[in-house]
Amino acid sequence: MNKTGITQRQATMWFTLYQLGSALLILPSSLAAYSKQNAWLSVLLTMILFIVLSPLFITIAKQMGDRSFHNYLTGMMGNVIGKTVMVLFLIAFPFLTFWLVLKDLSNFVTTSIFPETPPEAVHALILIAVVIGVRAGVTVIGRSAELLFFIVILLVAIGFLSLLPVLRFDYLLPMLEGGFKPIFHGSILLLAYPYLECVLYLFLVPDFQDASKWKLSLMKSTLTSGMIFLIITVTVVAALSEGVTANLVYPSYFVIRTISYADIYQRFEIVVAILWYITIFFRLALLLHVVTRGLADAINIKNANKLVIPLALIGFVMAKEVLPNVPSVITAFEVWPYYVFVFSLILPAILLMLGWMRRARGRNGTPT
Amino acid sequence: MLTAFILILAIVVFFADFRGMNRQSTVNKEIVFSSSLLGIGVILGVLQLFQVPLPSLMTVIEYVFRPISDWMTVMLK
Amino acid sequence: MKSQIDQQLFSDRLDDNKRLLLDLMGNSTDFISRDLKLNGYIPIALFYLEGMVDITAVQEGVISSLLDRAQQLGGPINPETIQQHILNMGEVGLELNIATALDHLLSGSLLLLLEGHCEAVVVHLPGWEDRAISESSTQSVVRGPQNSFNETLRTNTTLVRRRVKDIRVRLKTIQIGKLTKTDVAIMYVDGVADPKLVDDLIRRLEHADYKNILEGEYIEELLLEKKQQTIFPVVYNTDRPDTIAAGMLEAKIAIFIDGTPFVLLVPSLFVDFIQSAEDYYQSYFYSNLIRLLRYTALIICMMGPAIYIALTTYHQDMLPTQLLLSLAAQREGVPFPAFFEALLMEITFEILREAGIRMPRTVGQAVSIVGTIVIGQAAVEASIVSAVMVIVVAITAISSFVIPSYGMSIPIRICRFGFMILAASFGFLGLTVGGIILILHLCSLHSFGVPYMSPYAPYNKSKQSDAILRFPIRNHSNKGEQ
Repeated sequence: MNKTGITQRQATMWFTLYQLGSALLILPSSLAAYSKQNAWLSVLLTMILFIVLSPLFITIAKQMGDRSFHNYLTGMMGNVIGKTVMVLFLIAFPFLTFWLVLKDLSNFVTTSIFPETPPEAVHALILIAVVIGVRAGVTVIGRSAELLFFIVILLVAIGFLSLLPVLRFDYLLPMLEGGFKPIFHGSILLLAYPYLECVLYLFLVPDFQDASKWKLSLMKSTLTSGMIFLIITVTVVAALSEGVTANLVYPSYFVIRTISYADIYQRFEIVVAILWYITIFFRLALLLHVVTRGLADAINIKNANKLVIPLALIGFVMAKEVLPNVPSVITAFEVWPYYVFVFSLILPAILLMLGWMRRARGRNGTPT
Repeated sequence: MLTAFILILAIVVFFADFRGMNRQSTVNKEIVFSSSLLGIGVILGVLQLFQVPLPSLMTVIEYVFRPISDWMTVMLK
Repeated sequence: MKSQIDQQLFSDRLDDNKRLLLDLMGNSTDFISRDLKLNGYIPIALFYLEGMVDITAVQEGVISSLLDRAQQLGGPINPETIQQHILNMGEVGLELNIATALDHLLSGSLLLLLEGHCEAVVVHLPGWEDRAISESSTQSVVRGPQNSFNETLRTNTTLVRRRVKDIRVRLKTIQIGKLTKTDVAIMYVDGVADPKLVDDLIRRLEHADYKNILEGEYIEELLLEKKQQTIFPVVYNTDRPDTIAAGMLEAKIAIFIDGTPFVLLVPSLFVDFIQSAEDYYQSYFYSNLIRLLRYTALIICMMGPAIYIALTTYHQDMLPTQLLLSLAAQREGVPFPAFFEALLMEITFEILREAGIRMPRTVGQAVSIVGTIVIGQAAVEASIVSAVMVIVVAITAISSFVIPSYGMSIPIRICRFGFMILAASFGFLGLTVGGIILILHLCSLHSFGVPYMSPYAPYNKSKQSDAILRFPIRNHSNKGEQ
């Protein structure tokens, strides 16, 4: 057994938790804003679209072999261009996402749970855990994902299944009211955030025993989180109706708040917060890991661990700066998918084409 | 206020790490890069403490991608 | 002086040898020397430490066989004939080196020296007073074997041998410690245990550079790796032979140390500390319920006070209204915040617990009355702590005794304080982050190459039959069979 690697099961769980991360809290609201009561159809459409798009990433994974992403990139684009693209990519995509996620977390905590807490405290607390995790390495995070996965599923089940009695399925009708277009609009958002971030999973390919396992992890995790997501969306919309869902910032949190049976089974929305903390941890861990390892490869350092604390510090500072307040998050969200497409569709497509060109050249006798 | 505290904490932790690095006679590159990254972080943090508005990437992104987003919204109405 | 003796051999003059030995032993009063004449004219000297050898065997075996048989034998008497034809008891060897012979003497052997020969006959006849085999003091079961190890190495290894009667059971002994020369024995099942681990263990023990080894903890710390700093135990210890035997069947290696009834098991995983031998001695249904109870107790033990602090400080809305009102009423007169209250009670309880272990039995009753009634009751009535706090601390403390292995309850108690601090600062979210950090730490540990959290993570399907729940024995893969 590869001691420093990650097993397929661990990676699947990690990716699933990653995808559940931010999506859990914010997405039902935005989805409902676009596709109203057909939000759940958006989820299904996203799944289908993703399955269609996945060969893009799987082929890259296969082409990577057991090279790291950096080596693959420089192999395709040459050393100088490759390294520059790499660094720009890292700052613009994973690192930026890192700041946004941190900001998201502190927004949530300071508005809904502890209004008097300064956001830096929230950042600092989760960052301690993330730094410890990233320094411990991929194997440890993978094992922790295995353990925490069941707690997360349990909490989701307790939280959302408790809503069964109050669901009103007529809130989900009529289906396809606005036609197909709004559903598509919603699924664009869902696709970009979080599913197309799977381009970042490519950074973990060398840790697998072989690339086909990576493909399995990718597909399984998407389907799992998609299903959970479907359940959550259906539950939220059916419990609150689409209008309310679209107007709330944190609908899943709010919907759990409405649970109240027999005066004792009530007010455990903190469970959702715990759930979210755990999934956000895995999200931040992957993002920071990608940034540190990518940067370490780009400047040719062997031990990426030394970079973790400085990068976490920069993240800590920038998280406050990146977006000033909650409404700006919502507006930023509208443009975010198209920004993501640049990195998660256009860039991989370019890489793929370069790969084919090289192979074609190789067939003509020129060594790659 | 808290930011200042965290900055100091980060520097302290980094130095603990740093001593470990020095003892192990690691490559110079590692020390240089991690220290400079830390430096960037500290400078940014200090700037933030002094309420200097730092450039945010998001404004640029929004500016660039807003047209596309509006176009898509219209298309998909 | 010591190095001189190390090389010195016996001379063939009996008087010289006698004088030398008495000198080296400093004329200690328990060093007995006895002169005999075989066949009426051959001078022989016996040396032993009173109290270390079996006096009856010495008298009836050695001395009487010397006096009687020598006559019957006729022919020349030399150390070989004594060894092979005359002596009828004990393990007999020949030794030329004085230092080695004295080592044997100090471990319960008898030395025989003849005039005119430089070989000493060493007869191993240990017979010291030892504690009878009794119940385990730290890990008791309701149903199951009640005998436990005592302080003699040979008794202990025999207790385990009686349970695993296979020729593949191997026993290797090493002496560690310059002054204590403690016998440390390694026992494992050849073919089941990992041979690399066995070699690694033996190598580490042989290179141990300690002056004295008095208990297993010294060995434990020797075996730990320097790079891995943790409060969690990586080596399991127990004084129950059945646990050791079960461990050996599961490819673990047992380390016995002369002088202590606690035997070490290596490698040890997190699950080993949560399981008890009794899980196998009761029906599987009951055992599984008890195991679930144990896991619940584990969580209560670690996070009990922390949850109380979080609930009363930050998340009052989670409690039912009635409970909240009564809690608020109780906390009305208490001047301290919940965290301080909890800290105070926890520390008090740790003091009580430690005192309970050390105090003489005669005072025990009085102190327990003082502890429970006076401190608990009076503190509540003086409004220093609230009644609920006392309840929480009591439940937490009792839960910690549900964990079978004492070695695991220590880090849990330490974590408890960490969680209390986190709960006081950040409520449940702090607890979540604390939990994540704890899990990260546990997952990064390994016990002699095996990941600490196996078989939960990395998931090992075949070992799940005894991980969280115990499946019926029928469904277990056969243990120890290759």
